[in-house]
Amino acid sequence: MPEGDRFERAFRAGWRSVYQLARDGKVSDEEITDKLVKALAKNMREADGVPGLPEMTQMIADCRPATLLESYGALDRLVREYDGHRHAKIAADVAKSLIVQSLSGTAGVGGDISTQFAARVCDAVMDNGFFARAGTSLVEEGRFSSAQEFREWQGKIEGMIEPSVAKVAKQLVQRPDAKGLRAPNRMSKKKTTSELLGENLLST
Amino acid sequence: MNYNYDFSNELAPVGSGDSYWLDDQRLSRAFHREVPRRMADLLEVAMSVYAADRRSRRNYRGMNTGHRRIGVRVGVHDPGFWARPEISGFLSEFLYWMSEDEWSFDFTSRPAPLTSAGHQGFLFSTPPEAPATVSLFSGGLDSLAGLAKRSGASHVLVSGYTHNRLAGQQLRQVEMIRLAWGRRRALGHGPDLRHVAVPFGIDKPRRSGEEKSQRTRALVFLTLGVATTVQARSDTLWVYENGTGALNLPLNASQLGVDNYRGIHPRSLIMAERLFELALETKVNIRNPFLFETKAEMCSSLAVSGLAEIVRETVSCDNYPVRVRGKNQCGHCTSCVLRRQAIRCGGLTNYDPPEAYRYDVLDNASELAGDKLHGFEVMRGQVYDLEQRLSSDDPWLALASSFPELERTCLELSNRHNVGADRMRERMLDLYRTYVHEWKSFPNILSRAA
Repeated sequence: MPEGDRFERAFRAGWRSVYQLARDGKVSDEEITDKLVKALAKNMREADGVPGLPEMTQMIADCRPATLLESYGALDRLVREYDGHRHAKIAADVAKSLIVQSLSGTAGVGGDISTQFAARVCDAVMDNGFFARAGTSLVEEGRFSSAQEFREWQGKIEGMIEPSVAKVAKQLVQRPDAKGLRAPNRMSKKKTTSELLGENLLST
Repeated sequence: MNYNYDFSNELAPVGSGDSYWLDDQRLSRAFHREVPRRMADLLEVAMSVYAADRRSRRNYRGMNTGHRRIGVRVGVHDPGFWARPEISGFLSEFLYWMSEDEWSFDFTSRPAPLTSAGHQGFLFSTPPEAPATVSLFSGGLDSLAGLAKRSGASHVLVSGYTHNRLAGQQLRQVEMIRLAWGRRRALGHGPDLRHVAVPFGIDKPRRSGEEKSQRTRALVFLTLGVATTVQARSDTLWVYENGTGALNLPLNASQLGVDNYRGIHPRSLIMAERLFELALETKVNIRNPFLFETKAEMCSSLAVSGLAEIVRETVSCDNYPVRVRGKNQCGHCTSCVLRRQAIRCGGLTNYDPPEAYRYDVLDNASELAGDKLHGFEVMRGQVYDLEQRLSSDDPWLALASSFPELERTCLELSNRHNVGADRMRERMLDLYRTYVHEWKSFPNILSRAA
């Protein structure tokens, strides 16, 4: 029963500034995408990355139909080991999803599992920290006229950010603790000094 | 966050924060039998867990997701038995699933109870007719709708209550059911109905220190239910909860783990069966016959069963009691929204007027502030997500990829009930198809504010 279900509506540090930019609607989608990937990288660094990422990758690779329940149990134990660390919890859910897909026979996890898994974890971290919270708020605030319009915008941003997320994911695979992780180069053009000086401060 | 509690001191004064209470005499008096010691121990353990849960604040700062480590010392009649790794270990596993906390126990010896059922007289003049159908009765809409769909000549309803307002509301419903069934009984086919209401509570922590999530409270209700089942010499406890509510999928990606309550989740019931079997050394089945029905489908039976008038007495609200005259329920929490959607789709609107809610999110949304619409909006968003997945080429893969717990649930249900996993998956898909269809049958609501 949905009894006392808990929602986090407030934005945590890092994501809040992206929300403010999105809400104000005064910057391009490229700039929002840059901010979002920066927030992701910062979030990963401050959280010490994704605890248990290599072990989970191995569990995805090793899972067989007969061992699905054991794999789920092992993923739960890993999350417990890390005291319910937010990123470990998110990653365990993603790992379960990939296990379901890889065992379905109709949709396999192809290519480099570790990078694919890390990228999906990055997507899920952005969903948890930003998109899921921003959706209702941005409609409430009038930035979008409907939930559908927000979803379309989200889809566009996710498409634009994919190459940058792939780069973050590669770094995560190499250093799951996210030490030294950097956001990839920005997509949007950096403003020149004259452009910055020409900006109308009152409009922001 | 680490917490340790010592509930083994029976002389702890009320107000010290180390006491809780549960009137298990009601269980003795109802059935003219003492509660067996092992069962009394189970009630003790359940109450100690509930008390510790409510007193331990969760921490969500930084990367924390509310995970706690809780140590409990509790007095039982047979500490050696409870300390066995297979018992205490499984108890901790079960509680981890329910609360996502690490639980550890130190069982100490407690003296035999001095009380006896005979000292206080019996609750009923005769024991219930066997075989009795024993059902948990919370006073919510699902417990009423579930009961309306049940047959059987003899029913025992068991309720736990923590405050008199809830007790009164449960009692009023039972009286109304009794009246309705009494009319059938006069015609020679109405069932016998008994109600066992058990008060329980904790020595309340200071308000600032109270944890609101209470993810383990279902353990108290299930233990009360199983205790009643055993006392009634039955072998099955029935719980009534609609499928989407029992499975309680995350409404959006901001929710993780036990942000969504798992009290009547099928996995919880399977694990609870195992726990009770280990502890009691006898098998008690715990069944939710409505796992594959929506709340609206459950409600549809009320109109034909003659119990629809009682709907207005039921409560679903997370914020109950709402302290506004004439308005029992808030109307904007997700439980209220699901209730109203079900009542509307189940054709019971006449029995549940919008005026009974403090906020009317279905028909009066334009006048409400955004925070009052949040529950409705996230539910609407979930319906959209579900619809997308169900309309894909491989609906199960799409659904289980988004909500991977569903796959585990299907496999465990399949193992428990000896039914093919594919059959379980089909039934799960049908449940969500029906749920989405119900929402879409009210396009004005689904598209409002869209």
